[in-house]
Amino acid sequence: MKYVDIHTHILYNSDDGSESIEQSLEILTIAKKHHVNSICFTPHCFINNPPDMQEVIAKTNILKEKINNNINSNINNNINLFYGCEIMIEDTLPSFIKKNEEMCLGEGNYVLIELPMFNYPIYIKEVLYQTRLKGFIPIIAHPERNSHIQLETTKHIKDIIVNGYIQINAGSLTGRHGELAKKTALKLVKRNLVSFVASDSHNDKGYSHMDEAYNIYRELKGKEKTDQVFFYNPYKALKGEYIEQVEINYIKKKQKA
Amino acid sequence: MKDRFKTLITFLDPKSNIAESYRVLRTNLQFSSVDKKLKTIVVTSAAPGEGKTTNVCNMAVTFAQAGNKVLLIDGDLRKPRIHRVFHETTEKGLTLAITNLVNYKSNIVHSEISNLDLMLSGPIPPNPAELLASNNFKALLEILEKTYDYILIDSPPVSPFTDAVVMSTICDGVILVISSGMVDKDVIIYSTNLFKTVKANIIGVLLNNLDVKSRSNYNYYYYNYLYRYYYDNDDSINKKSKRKQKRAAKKKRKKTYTYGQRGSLDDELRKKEFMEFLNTKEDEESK
Repeated sequence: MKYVDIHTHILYNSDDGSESIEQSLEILTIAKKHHVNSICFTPHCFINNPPDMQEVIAKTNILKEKINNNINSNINNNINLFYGCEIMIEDTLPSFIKKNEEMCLGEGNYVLIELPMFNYPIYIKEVLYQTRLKGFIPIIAHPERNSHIQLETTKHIKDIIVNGYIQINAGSLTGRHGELAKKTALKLVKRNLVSFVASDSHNDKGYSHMDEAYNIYRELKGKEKTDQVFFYNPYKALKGEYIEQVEINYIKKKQKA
Repeated sequence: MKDRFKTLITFLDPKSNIAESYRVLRTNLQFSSVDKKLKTIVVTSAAPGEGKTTNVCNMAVTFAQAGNKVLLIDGDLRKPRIHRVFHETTEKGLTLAITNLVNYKSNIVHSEISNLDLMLSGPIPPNPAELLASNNFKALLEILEKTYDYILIDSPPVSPFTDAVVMSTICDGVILVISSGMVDKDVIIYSTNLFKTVKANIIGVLLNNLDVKSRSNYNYYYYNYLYRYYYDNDDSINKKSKRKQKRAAKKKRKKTYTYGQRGSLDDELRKKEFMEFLNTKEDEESK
């Protein structure tokens, strides 16, 4: 079992994640212990206040050099490092992304989009369609943590599934983000709507949940599908290859006797 | 792969019974209009799941096999499915072509079948009906009509959505696919009235899913019989004829046995009875 992680906040001094180079190197060594093959740094991005992408690129290059030169450390057989952004949804997102193409994940044209915690944006359908028309493919990050989606899952998930993909957190499968998040995450997994699982790790505790989530997923769906969700799909996303789209399987409610 | 094997019968087994009936449909369509040649055809149904997509794909293949240049458009912008039949992706397609008319050629895919090109759905818009009613879609069809002989368009069902009605005003004709025994009569009347109000040209109705065996319809039986007689392998015909010969021989034998033997039997019986009668008399006399 190997992982490709497309959603992390490990890059130092760029957001609420790690605070220094030493800490992010430490986290990378832990990640290598947990068989992580490649990692994509995705610092938070608000359209009013975007991060400086030149700085992000420079920092990833520094980390790459440190890993390659450091012979004594455990990560001398190197992890592949990529960069991108986790963008908060807003109605001007499609035109914003067209201007800043380097915010896509890795080398492809996939975009990681975050929903607000306690709001449901009504323009989400229009935004996803417009990003698709511009030539980018949206991935919605941890929809199971949104409070509106937790209450009315199928009604809101339909809007996302039509033009986008779903990424859930390993932590919400294990119950780190609360009972409701776990419930909705399991619901999404059972209906085959999930295309990616990633550790939304801010510190060194993020990767201990990865193995647990892998086992939970494997019990539900078997080995092939878990490997696809944890390894192959994220790898394809970073390289910009096509991933098969999911469809809603409607489950009929049992009639009360 | 499963989906493909199910749906594209005319491509995978062009000699089959079903492919032949699609060919009949093709000739019917070619000669259905006298004055104006039918170029753009919309295929719909009253309710979902009546077999629009399978019929459109197979029709497109049969038109292409006849040497026409055919374009198959996935106009179902709510639940597109043609890309699953041909194993393509929906990254490029109709919505991109409508929004960006200059680059319409990049949104057309060449399929494995010669003469058949595809235009898939593309990203799914939140407002499909307005997109299909736009002037850009009209202009796109006018451009495409110059290069292709036939343009077949798949569409969502009529009774819940208005997309097919909107498209029918632009196109030359509409085919209604009706699955037998599935939809209520009133629903079909309602959906045909929708087309009549916009003065669309309904070419005809395609009756799908007809259970041939349960209906003792002489014509269908005769068609199947003739088809088998003409097309099947020689061995099977020989087997059939042998079986029939045996049956005929049996009948003949029975007939001959009954007719010829009964008379002779009766005569012999009578003779025997008569002889016995005589013998008994002789015996009695001798005693």
